[in-house]
Amino acid sequence: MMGRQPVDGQDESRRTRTAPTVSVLTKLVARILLVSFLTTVCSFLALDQPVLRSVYFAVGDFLAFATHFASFAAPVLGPVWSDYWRSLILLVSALGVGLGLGVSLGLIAATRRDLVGVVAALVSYAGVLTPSFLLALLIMVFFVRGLGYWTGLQWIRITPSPGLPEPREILAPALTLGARPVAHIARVTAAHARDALRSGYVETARAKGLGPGRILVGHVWPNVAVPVLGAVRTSLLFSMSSLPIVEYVFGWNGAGLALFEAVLSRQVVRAAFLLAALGATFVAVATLVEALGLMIDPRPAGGGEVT
Amino acid sequence: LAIWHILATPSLSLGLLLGLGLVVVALFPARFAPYDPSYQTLALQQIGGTWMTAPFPPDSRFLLGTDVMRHDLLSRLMYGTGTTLAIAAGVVVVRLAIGLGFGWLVAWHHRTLRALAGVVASATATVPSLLFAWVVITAIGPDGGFVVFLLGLGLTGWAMWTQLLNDEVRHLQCQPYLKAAEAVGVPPLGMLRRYLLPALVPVALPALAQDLAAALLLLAELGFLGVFYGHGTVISPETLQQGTPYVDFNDWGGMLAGTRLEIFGDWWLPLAPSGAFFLAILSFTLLGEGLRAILDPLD
Repeated sequence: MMGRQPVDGQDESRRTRTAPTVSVLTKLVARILLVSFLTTVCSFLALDQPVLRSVYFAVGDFLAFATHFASFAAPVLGPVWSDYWRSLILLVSALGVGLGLGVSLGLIAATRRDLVGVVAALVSYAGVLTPSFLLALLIMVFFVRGLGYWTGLQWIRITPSPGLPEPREILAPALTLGARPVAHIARVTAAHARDALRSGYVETARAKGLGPGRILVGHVWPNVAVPVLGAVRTSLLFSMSSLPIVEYVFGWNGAGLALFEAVLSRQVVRAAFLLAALGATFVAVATLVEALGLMIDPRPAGGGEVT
Repeated sequence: LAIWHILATPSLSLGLLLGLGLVVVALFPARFAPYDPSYQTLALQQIGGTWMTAPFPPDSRFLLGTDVMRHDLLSRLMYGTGTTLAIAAGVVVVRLAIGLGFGWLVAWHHRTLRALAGVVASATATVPSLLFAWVVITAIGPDGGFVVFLLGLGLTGWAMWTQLLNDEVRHLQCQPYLKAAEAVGVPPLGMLRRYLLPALVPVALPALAQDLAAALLLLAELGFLGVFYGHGTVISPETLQQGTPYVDFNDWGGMLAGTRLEIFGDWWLPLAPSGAFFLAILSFTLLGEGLRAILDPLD
């Protein structure tokens, strides 16, 4: 049977639109499967045993796990899922804080040479230097002694509790978890915005009489957006790294704290699922960021690598 | 590096001053510490008209206060400087060895080997360092000692060195003098010694200082979670919730364990070691930025 002939290149354009989407989805699924497989295998490694013995038992345990997946997964899947989504709330909030504050601070530091610019640069510098637990402790004191005292509300949890977190309880851990993303994104934004502001096309736009706002939105931001997307990937890594500390300090029942307990009590299957879930999240975000970076990159094709 | 270069770069002079200060204290703690780290003050003392038990707050005798076992915190911090800096330096050496080894493979060797080394480097760059270090040290057991800490902290974070070496080699490979050296048959090791190392030093020195700061940051965070060098067993979250587990060992990380809720009462217990870590991290970060400003001004 003959297929329909392309009408005014309609099929061609559809093919070019769907091909990258299919490629991104395939890449995403393949990477998630690979990371889940590797983290699960690694979870079965008994690191306190000699190497060969450890590998031998890890392969055996993993095969038993793979063949009886349902019976292994059933008791842990529910708790792991509830731990995971609680952490996901924190991670998404932290990235939101990182993007919102980081981009603003970075643009201020790049465009203003006065005290405001210096303060913005110092805030991002302090975010890089301060250990996350120290920041968490200081934020905890502020929320308990300052905000809690004045508003009469409980803003943070001191001890972990199984119930749903109040929306206001997200604020303190999200701010702590977002501190390093804020600092990193602000530094990346400031560096690339400064480069863009010095470039020829911005000079031309200024000479043509464009206002600072339109230059920032129309000429600087498109060139800053791609590196900022790359910084989102690194920021997620920072946030995931600090997750156990922040969850421990703020009594947040999430994947970080659960992993803490699972490793100490040798609950291998629970640890495997938690690690796989966190690894898959990182891979999914990294792949999507990579694809988005290629889509919005204003440079010609081939020069849009997200670093 | 001339002295006027150092003086003209505030970040470098400040970083160098603080870094050297830390190294001197680490080497000769007995010269600077006001007390022996095992010295215990009286169990019951009258402070500000009130009878108190340990831990005692900072005053003129104990500038940073005492811990729960009545030891002077400042003295313990000074005696712990050497151990803490030694672990951080050891971690950097491990990262340097692995990272440069892989970088060498990626830059100079066969395409398949290069691709494989590149994949391994990219994969480790995506592992959260704190989680990895904590899982490895906890699973092996911190009683394994120095080597366990070096492995736990050094097996991630080395991809930066691979990238750095690879970038430099790729840059150098485009240079005509390197092509000429290759044409006259200079072996890879000879090229490494004559051309690559001199080009690498200005980029590597600042990165070295900043990697030291990153290793200290990891040590601090691990210590706060109850994993630190010198302690035989892992401290569980329940133990940490109950308060400060006292460890008869001078290590900054150990002093941080279990101090989470002390911030509301005996605030000097978490703040004194945190301050020491912050000062050390600041000094090496400033040193790195200052060195970069002088050695690699185009960056």
